[in-house]
Amino acid sequence: MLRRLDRGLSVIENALLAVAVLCLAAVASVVVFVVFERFDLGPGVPDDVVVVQQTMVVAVGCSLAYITRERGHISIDLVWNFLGPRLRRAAEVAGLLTGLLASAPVAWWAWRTFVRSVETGSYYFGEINLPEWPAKLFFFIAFFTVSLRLGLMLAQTLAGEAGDARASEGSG
Amino acid sequence: MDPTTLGLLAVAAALVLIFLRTPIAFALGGVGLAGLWLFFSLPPGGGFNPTGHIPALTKATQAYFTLFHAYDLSAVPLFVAMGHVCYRSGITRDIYDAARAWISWIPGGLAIASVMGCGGFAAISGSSLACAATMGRVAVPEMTRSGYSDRLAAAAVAAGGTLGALIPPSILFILYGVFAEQSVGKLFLAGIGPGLVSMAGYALVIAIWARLRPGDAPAARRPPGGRLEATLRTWPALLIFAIIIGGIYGGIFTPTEAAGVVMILSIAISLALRRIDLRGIREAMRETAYQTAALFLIGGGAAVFSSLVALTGLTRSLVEIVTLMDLPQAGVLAAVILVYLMLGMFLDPLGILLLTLPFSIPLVEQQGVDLIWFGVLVVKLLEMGLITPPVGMNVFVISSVTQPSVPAGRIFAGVAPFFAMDLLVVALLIVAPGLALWLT
Repeated sequence: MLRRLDRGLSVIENALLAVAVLCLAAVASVVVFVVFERFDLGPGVPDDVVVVQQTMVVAVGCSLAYITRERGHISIDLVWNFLGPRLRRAAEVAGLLTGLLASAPVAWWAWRTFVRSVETGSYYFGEINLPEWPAKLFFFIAFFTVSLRLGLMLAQTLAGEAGDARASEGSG
Repeated sequence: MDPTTLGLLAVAAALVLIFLRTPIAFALGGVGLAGLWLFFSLPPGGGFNPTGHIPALTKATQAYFTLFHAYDLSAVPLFVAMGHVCYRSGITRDIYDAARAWISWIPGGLAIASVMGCGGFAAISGSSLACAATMGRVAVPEMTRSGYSDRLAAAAVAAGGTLGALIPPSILFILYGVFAEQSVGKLFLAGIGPGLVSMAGYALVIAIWARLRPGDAPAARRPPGGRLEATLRTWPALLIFAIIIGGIYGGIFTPTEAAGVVMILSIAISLALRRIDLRGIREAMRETAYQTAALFLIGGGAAVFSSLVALTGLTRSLVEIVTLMDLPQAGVLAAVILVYLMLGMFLDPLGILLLTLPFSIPLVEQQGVDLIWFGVLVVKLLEMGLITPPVGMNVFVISSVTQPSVPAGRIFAGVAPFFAMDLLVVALLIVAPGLALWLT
């Protein structure tokens, strides 16, 4: 069950990472078009600052769950290296719970903010009046997928612990 | 609950979690959010506010969204992408090759070329660890093959790697600029002088080392190929650096625009010179997305944590205590430097920067310190933390990438004179702030 969930979530995370890469390329392109426009070399992009800001939310958000799965977040090993296996596992569980505390409530609130932006039809005032909801939707997806991944990692860690306990009982 | 007590408990909890290997982003974000909920749910007058979660979640969500949404920060992934593309196409290595062609025959010359290569790498990638990892693989084996002591070889590259955040573009400067509300362009320009002085200082250390212990740094054979050819090959790196600095200094680009232009330019040059293919570009972009997510999540967590620190009045209390102590500006600066050096021994530079700015900025601002100059000082101190035990990340990176591995203890011992030079540069920066501010 956990393995199937892991595989399904991994597919979503990989797809989101591809979206993030495309968004980064889009940000660079918009910025360069704006510079071209300044030197009369091209048409430029309307509301470029808002477009870059919105695209950045998608670019950053879409990579978060992938990096969480890869355990790519910056952390410090100093004390952890001196801990025994049980304390290490306890520290890992504490870290995952802290991560869930940091992401799950934000995901919930981000969903509410997204729904509100759809209901009110809010937009960024400018030449093209870009709606607010797309960036807010991806912001929600970012924290929701991170929470899912952390929940899964927590379940896997606890299942591993239970498995270890059963194995030691069996061998005893 | 007393807000100051809550603030102190939050700082302690975040530090404990960070030391227990909780990702810094989660430690700051989780503790920050829990602290905000406690702050709004248990007001100082007593009682429980059942709707305390509403302002807490609103503040936390806004903090993350505002950070992800910050236009100035969009320069970060663009510079990171440019660094990855240049690394994959070998542009970052060209400066090392050129320096090596010119000075490898001098005793200690290969090590000096490595430091110059690190400076050149820094001018492209903006990352100290990437610089240490790459030059550790390239320059250390070459020096040891040429008869250099592994202690000097690895230490020179570890110290050279710290130039990454001082010489623009620099991710730490961008983050400092956004959090301290200072001009990123001015910070980039302010980093050049101290970066070059640090590089010259490291070269001096190597020259003295080679003179005192000639067996550690013998003259090496000149590499095959002409000097002129090696020098001419550096044009892409020089062009990229000139566009960044010239564009910002000349008022042609903002840092974000400079980042976008050099990123596209680096791809175009690398493709034109057939030094990268589409697969390489795709991989560079994937690594960029990965690194960007790590940086922004820490930034978001730090923004949540900063909201809590500001609300609890912890910073105000700290400023009041310092005011009551009637310390002179030099005393406050000495204390701040000491704190950064101590934290640098244990924590990651990015974590320290974002954890301490809510406290240090108001403190030094009240003393009338120039915040651009302070940014340079802080980044220099943070980079020094990369070579100090027990958690000198550059040292561990080099120890892990060298084959056979140079033990970390030997590298730490070798790094000591470079660290002493760093202290001298910090002293120079304090005595002569113009070293950083002359271009701004």
